[in-house]
Amino acid sequence: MDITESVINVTDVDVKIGTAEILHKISASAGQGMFVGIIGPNGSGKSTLIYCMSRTLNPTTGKILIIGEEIEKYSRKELAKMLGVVPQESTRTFDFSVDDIVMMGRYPYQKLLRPPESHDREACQKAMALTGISHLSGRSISTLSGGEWQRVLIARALAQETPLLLLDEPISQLDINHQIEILSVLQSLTRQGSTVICVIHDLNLASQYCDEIIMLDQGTVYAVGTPHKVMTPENIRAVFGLDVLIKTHPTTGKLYLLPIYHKRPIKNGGRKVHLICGGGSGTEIMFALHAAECNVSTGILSMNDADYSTSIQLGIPCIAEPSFSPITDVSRSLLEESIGTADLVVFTSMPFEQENVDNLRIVSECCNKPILLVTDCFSKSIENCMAGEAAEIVNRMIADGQAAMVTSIEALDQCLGKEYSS
Amino acid sequence: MGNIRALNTTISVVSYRWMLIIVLSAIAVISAIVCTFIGPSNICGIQIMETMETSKMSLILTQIRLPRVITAFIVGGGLAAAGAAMQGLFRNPLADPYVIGTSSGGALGAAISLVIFHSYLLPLAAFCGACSSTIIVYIICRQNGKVAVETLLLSGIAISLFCSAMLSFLMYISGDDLHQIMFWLMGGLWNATWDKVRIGLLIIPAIGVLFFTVRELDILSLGDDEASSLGVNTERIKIVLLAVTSFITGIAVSLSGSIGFIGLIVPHMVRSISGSSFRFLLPISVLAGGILLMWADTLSRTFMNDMPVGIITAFFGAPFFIYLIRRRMWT
Repeated sequence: MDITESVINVTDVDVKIGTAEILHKISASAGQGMFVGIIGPNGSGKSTLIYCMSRTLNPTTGKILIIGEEIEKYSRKELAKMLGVVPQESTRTFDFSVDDIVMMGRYPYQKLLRPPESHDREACQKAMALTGISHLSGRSISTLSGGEWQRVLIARALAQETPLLLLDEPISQLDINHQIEILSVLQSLTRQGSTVICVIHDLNLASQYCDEIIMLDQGTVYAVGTPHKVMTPENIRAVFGLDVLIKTHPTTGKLYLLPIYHKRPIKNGGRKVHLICGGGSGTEIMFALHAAECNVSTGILSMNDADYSTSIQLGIPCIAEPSFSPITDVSRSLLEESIGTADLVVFTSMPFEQENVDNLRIVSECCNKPILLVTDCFSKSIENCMAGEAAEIVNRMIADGQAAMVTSIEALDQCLGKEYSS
Repeated sequence: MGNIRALNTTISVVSYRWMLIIVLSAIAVISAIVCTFIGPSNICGIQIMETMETSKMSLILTQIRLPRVITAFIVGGGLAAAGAAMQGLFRNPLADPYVIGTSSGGALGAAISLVIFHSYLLPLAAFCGACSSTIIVYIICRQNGKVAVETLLLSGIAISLFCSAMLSFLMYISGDDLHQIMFWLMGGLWNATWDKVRIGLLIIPAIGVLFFTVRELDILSLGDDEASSLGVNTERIKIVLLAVTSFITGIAVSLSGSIGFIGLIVPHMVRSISGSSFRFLLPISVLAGGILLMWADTLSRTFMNDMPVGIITAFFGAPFFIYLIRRRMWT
């Protein structure tokens, strides 16, 4: 982006405190009307970058331009008319009223000894209305909750009426409705031409609201660009050390992240496993096997089954039938083939409807591989969780030594570790 | 509707504070008159007309009591204003010229000028002493731009102890000046004269300077970083405030010795009735501090055989200080 176009332009900023290098060669910029999010793990330098941008901290080397002018050239008052800052936390030493605090945002505009003028009052009232704290007018700040206090600080920055707003985790203490309310207010300000730079911890909210995201890691810019470009599973894993699924929000079309919980509970990966599941009973095991880099296949599943969408999400091959239709010969032969190449066949405890009983029958008829029945349900009593033909088949398989029962993913893991001769 | 109601509340709160200022001003004037006529030599109302004729009585009134009452008001008001400003500057409600060692520094400066220069340039010496001890305390307890309460109190104690050691040493070698130095230590108004009042008048423009900084004081109490981001030139305002508060304290000490706790107690009491905004806290503190010291001095010279008023303020101030510390610990 052209330097003259951008409201703020940071070039090669280094910050050293003592021997520790907090920021290293940071370059970033934000054009007019942009909503820029800064994300990154704790200690990655997000707050320090905000400090530099607000001249709270002078960078060791590097240059920061605000509207084409070097930040040091501004007087404090001029700068306060250019950028408003919402700090991460603010101590309440003395007991001011909410109105006093918001009016402090008008300081750069006020003349010595003159009382606030009508446009100062109007700016304050507008800021308080936007942040939804009009009802707090006249209250003393010591009576406010953490979230209310945070909104007062945001109102104060809005009262400054600056073209650029810097916010350091402004919504971390707010309830979810107020988080969205505040971010929406900030977004509407960007629509009116303001520029917002905001440190956000919540990656989902960041991708919902930000036009551009700066991802920091250990004091450097790891990635920068649109949420689609920055919020990739690879980046998140590299920076946050977390495996996530990236999905599209059903109503906004923006990205949202789902963390993959229970990271790698299975240590004995690498085997070929066929999983027979249904009704969501296989989801957890499917994730675990997939994360352990097992060669997983699944089926036969109905296409309206929760486990079916999980397998699609994870990219696991799945033998599927359209909803409410019987198992076809094609599927049957696919299942036989899949079982034939597997090291192990795993059953989960599932509702044994006709389709699943069919699965069970096919397996019991043609399988010469070890079969594991996973979950608590099997361990209690087979008759309790299935009836009729299903119970009969399972009992026979166990009696023949063809199948064994395990009651947890850990036990399944142990079984995976054993060598089975086929 | 909500906005109108809020506006009305704001207006009523503001006018309530203006009422406070007016009422306290009236009380100050009345107190000054009453205090002038109260004293160990009984001059009652009926005698006024006659006493004006007797030179002795009129001498007591105009040459002894009136300057003393005026000095008490100026010193009390000045110390309260300095205390309020220091609390904003140090961002800490426990700061005051006495607690953080400014008064002791002033007393030391005064004693040095007494012993070495024979009271020549005494106000200047008291001012320099007050300034340097404040700056030393400030440098000691400033860390990463923050002033922590523990270090503030501890370094204040350290500087006070150091100053009193120096004072003891000066008293030890002073000989004839011993009594004079004792006076600075205890704090009293008994040698107030019109000459002293003239020096004391210097406090008034200094308080005036503080009035120019009320908005900055409000914002400064939020912290340096926030104050800067709101457009306050924090370093400059700090220098101004340190200089002005040390000046006021130095003058006050040179007039009346180190009178403790006025600067701590008065802003505290005022804050509970006027709120924390310095716009009102400062003028109301000046009035309340002046009234308080006027009456404390009147009580001491009338009923306590002219005991140094510093003893009275410390007697009541120290327990109040302990109460404040305890209350901070509870919250």
